[in-house]
Amino acid sequence: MYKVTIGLEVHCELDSNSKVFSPSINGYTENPNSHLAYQDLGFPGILPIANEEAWKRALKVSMAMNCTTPDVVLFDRKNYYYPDLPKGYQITQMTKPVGINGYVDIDVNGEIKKVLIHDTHLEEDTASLDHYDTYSLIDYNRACVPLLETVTEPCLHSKEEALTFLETYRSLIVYCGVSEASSVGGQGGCGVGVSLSVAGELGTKVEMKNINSFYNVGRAIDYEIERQTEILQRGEKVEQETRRFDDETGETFKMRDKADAVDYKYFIEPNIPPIKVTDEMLDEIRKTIPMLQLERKQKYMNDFGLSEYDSEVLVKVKENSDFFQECVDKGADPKKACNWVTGMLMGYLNENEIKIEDIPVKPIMIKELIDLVDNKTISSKQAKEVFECMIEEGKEPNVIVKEKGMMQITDDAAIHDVVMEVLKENDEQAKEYNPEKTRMIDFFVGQVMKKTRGKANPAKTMEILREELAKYNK
Amino acid sequence: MNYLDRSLEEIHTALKEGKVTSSDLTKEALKRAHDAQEELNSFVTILDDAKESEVTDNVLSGIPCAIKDNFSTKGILTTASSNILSDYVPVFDATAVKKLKDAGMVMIGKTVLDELAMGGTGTTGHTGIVRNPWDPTRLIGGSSAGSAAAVARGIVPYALGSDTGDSIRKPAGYGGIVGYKPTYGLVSRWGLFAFASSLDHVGCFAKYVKDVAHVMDNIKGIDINDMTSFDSSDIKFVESLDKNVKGRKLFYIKEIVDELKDDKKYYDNFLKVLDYCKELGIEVKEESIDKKVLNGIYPSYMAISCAEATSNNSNLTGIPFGNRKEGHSVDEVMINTRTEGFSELIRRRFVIGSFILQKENQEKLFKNAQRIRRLVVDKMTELFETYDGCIMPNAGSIAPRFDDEMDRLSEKYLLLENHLAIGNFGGFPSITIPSGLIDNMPVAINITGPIKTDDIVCNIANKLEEKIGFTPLSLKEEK
Amino acid sequence: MQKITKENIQDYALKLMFKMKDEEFDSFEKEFVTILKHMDLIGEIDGIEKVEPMIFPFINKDAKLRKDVATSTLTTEDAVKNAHETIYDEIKVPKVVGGEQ
Repeated sequence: MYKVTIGLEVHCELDSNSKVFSPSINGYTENPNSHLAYQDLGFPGILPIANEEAWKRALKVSMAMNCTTPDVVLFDRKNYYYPDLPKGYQITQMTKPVGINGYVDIDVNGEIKKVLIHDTHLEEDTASLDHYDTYSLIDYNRACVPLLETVTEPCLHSKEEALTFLETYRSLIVYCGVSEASSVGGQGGCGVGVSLSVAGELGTKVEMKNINSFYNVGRAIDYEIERQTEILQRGEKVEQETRRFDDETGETFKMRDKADAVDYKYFIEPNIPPIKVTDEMLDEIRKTIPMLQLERKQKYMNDFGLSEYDSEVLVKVKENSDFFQECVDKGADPKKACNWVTGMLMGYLNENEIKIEDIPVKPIMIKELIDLVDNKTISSKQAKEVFECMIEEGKEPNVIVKEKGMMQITDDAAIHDVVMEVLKENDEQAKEYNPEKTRMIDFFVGQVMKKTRGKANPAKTMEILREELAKYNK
Repeated sequence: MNYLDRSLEEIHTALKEGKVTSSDLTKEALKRAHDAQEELNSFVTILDDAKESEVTDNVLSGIPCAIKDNFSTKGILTTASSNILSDYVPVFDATAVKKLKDAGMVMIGKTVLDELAMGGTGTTGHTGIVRNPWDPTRLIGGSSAGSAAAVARGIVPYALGSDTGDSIRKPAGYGGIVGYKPTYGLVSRWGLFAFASSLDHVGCFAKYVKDVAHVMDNIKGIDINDMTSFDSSDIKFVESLDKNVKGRKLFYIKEIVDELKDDKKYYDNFLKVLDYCKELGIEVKEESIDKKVLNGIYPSYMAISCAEATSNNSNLTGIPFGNRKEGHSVDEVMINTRTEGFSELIRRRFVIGSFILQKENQEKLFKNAQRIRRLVVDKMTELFETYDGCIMPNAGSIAPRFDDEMDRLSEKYLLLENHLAIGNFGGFPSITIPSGLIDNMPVAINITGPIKTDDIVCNIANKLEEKIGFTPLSLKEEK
Repeated sequence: MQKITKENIQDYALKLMFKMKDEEFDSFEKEFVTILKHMDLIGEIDGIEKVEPMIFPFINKDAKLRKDVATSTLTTEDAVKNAHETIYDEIKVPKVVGGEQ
């Protein structure tokens, strides 16, 4: 068998109000050529004006990936001709990317692996081409939208590792709040380099660009491993080349070989002066980086003693995990909070296809609800009723309990009085009481509940009943 | 004397006093533009429907001017004197144009340049060569040829130009007028068609330093659309013009001035200017700069400017705008558009620029050029710690004839004809003023100072201008 | 350093999306060789390789990143005004096939 080595490139459009080098709207519209500024069409005389927010978001991802950050804001031009590239060059980063030499931890079947990040850089997207039978149409709305490209070192050794990295990266982007999950790697946003080697030797890298989904990245890797294995088994050499992945057939086809490699003639963009990246700026951004998915999962398992399954369910969506964490921060028992969040709460969200932000329940309410059960104000059965009311009406659990008159009678004397009353009224049965017959005690509990309209604390009632019944027959 | 031939302040006063109207001036300027067009070919477009504008307290209000045809002008054809943009009508105004509009200027035309501003002769524009009003058998120089010729001829009192190597200052010198290139970033480049972004400057032509100062006060300023622009609110051109220059210090570069010595007329002219300096109490000293470094200015300028230009002009494909030539494929459209749209010279420069940027050549060509740039600028900056500026002959000769060939390998050419690019390398403020006549053609001197001392550079130039007492061609011809 | 010759100049040109004619080579070569000759001399300057290349004329301390406020300055009408052919507010070109970057 050959050793497989994989390197990945993944693009992600960043969210922001305006585009990265022009002030026009960065957002979806159905109207072609409507979110535009002069820069987006590359008119003569335009100059790029770099967007602070896009820069900060890129830097946030860089720092979340433990990258070394640059001392200055600096961009480069990548020169090539294509009809979707209005200026004839793309402004990107080569000299001083927002991040270099980082790493991202991934969890491959319980084993933690460090994926090395070569660099991550901020650049502008191209216009979009709509193809028809005999012509193509150009819509410049997407031109100049901020795009973050992250490049790993060739340090992945299986399809599974590659796909796990991509999923982890996607969650990192979403956790950092810089973009939507769907913006990561979509629309031709992935590139893969695959090489096969025998021990101690270097393989020949075959690159595939513009793959449009993680799923297809997996298919491309499978195909290349198989294709290159066959070549090597025949005793032939794999050509260093760029191939195109066809998502209909799942095959890859030669595009160009190494000799035809495009020289992009990179040089520093002279219209964007270097701006110092200050420690304050970095600190300010660092503060906004949340704990990431894997780390949270590990914390839930190790510190809170949650199961791997529950932990995974909790961290799948950052907002759910944040919600859970806040419950804990407010003092709720992690396991109990987890039960509520992964059970009733997420069940409700899934059923109604809504997000946690869409419901009126706040973490503090979950904590209150748990307390109400813990201090025996309500029973766990009642708690479910309270929860339903809480999620529908947004009222606080205490309020609901009061309104519904659910408050349990926990006062020993009060329960005692009711118990004595019940025994008196059911003298015959009381005399026949036999501790061996559980059904008999259930009868008395039922009577107490009837009298208190269910408010008597069941445990206390049981305790007092046992005591009094024992005395009764002496 | 027609009011159009006076200084901006004089015209302004006359407008205020009702002695002349904006409409009179506009009509006269348009008439002169048409009268001179056949001989000089200053304009790509003459705006016959130019309207008078309201006279306000702004000195520029109501007064005609001309704009180089590489400034984006909303709704007005802007060609950069290239076939590839022969039908391009911009949808936005350059910042400098917008500021002049706000000041109340009357734009009467767009002036011819060397194609895409990439040239120094004024002979490569798509509408033909521009001639020197002093002698139509001679060139006016470029690339801001039309603006220089229009001001020299007296068609307009001032005109906008752009300067990447010496594109304002060289033709100003050949045309016997004042040409000014401010500190890089003092005037926004937004809307100036890029040639070489790190060297491009917006500046202007006028007959007098004071007129230049008025224009500069109006067009300068930090601009959100140009990240390289800076806040210059403390630089006041007109206010500083009359300050005493006694005690100011200037230097000239020995190695360059030495090249002038074998031509006595030129050398004497320069020495005379130095005498004027002394009379004004300005101390002038000789300084030496490594000749190897100085000889590197021209090739470094070529390397940097061609490299940046090939990238900057990659937007000219005929797709969203421009003079598209059809083809069967989109590549063919681009190739046909660019092959027919650019002259041979431009394509040549782009191939050179692209070669310089190639990965394997960058170190030896592009980066070495940028290294020379650093050596030159560092040396100048060091000298500027002692001096307020550098005074130099503007060029090695009067305006050449169209058929004059220069030996581009000679040191005289390398030094005397190309040193003005120092100002672009360092973004230094640099002004050229006429210094006299040789063989009935104007010659000029140039003063270049440290960055952000535009007011001091213009102050010294203004004082020298008074001493020199040069009569512009348009006043000479006035009968 | 690979030289540009009469044989390969067309390839260079085509990468820049234009053609050069054979007869245009001579004037090209003249200019090209001049610059290369000068650049060779620069390469001979002592210690040149140690000099930090200069990209910007000077460091502009006023330079700031733009606040993220969206204003679409260009209307659809103006955007396509200079295009030779448009359909449904989009700019029309011959069909683009393959070869994406």
